[in-house]
Amino acid sequence: MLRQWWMRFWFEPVEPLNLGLCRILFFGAFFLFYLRSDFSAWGEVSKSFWMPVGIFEILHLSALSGGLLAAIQIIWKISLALSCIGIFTRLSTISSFIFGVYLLGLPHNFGKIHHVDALVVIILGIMAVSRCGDAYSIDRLMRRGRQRGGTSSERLRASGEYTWPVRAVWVMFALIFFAAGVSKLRHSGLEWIFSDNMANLLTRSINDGHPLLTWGVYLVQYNWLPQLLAAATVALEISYPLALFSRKARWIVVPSVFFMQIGIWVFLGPPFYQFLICNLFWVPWDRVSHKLTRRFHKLTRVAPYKH
Amino acid sequence: MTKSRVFLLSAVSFLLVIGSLFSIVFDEEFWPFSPYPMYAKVQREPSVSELQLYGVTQEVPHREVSMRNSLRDSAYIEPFDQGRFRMALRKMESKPNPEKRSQLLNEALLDSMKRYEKLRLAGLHDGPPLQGMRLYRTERQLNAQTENADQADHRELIAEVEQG
Repeated sequence: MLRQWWMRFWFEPVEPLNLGLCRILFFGAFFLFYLRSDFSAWGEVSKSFWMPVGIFEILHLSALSGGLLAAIQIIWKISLALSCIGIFTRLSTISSFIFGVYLLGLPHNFGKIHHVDALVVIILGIMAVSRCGDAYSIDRLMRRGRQRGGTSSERLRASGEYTWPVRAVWVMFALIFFAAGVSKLRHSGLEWIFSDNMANLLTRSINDGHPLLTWGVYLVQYNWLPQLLAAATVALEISYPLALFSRKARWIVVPSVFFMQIGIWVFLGPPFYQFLICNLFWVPWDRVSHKLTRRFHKLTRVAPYKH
Repeated sequence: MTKSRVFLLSAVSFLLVIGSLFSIVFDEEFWPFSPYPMYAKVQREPSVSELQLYGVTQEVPHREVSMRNSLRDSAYIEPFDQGRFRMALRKMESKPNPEKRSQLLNEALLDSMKRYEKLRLAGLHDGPPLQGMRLYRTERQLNAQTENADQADHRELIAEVEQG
């Protein structure tokens, strides 16, 4: 029974189109996002700031010189671009993951772990072991070119290989938000909701000059409104795992948390760009693309000429 | 799908779930796994106590300049951002050995001043030339009507360095 459920959840056969489109969008978005990021400056920061996180300590990794970091980040960005278009996909996704762990992890060794990019690293790992290059990739085109006329140029069959990566990302989303909800209740209990906590957070962000909009000034005038926001935040975070098992819950929880993160960005300041981008794995891109293609064909169908 | 692939991918799934649950249960960071404690502690009081770094200008009369750039928050302290920079200094400041603490803070401040000057000379910010840096612990009341991150009600000098 449990085995059946496990197999159905992770390996229910689907066509490779959705995963292929997720690969293009994920690697394309992060290639553009990190294109102008420069990690080489971390190579020049004093050792007094070096406070290694677990994985760097275990693997004895240190901050390389600025020149080496500059070279590594070029290789990483090329790997992201190659993964996006799907050329040498296995190699490029593995290299995106390995260099991604190092480059994205490096700043966390200098005093504080920011949580915005941990999910990106995990997804890079998921894509590296997946067969995400089987559809919509240059590799696929080249393979078809080589085998033209042979049986293997047939359409790719549905497989659990194409379900697993997307479900793995969903599970990570669920665990991350569940963890955030649990953290609030563990450290503060219901006081996190039923106190001036949210009002003080909103006020502090205005004082620090962080938020995009200073509407928090108006929100904090009503005691109940910040508390309602706090209650909704914890409820959404704790209930996120429901999105894994219920389609209805998915339709409510996933967009709500997406807009909650936009709300945090607008009213409190910290932007969660990486999380917002990773939400692309919740969209059934194969169905979206079919619908768009059908609509496009309808629009471009030549209407009979009437005199 | 071959059995070995199912086994491999199941093992990866299991690792991802166990890694996350481990972080949640033990409430510890095992990057990239985390218990995600952002904003988890209640902000009870409408006041903030934090470390603030100021530069001392070369120009006479010497004045103190906040290391928070008004246009681009972290322009003076890059590649750090304000949150990471303050947390790093706080960790150094909380070292129990006073000698070690003072040595770390001095090194950190000198390094910050060096990077500030390098960024300034490269034209990456328009701050004034500095001759020193001072680290304070500041306290301020929160006020929803103003942006007052640099206006402390009380402050205490923690460390100071000057260009040699």
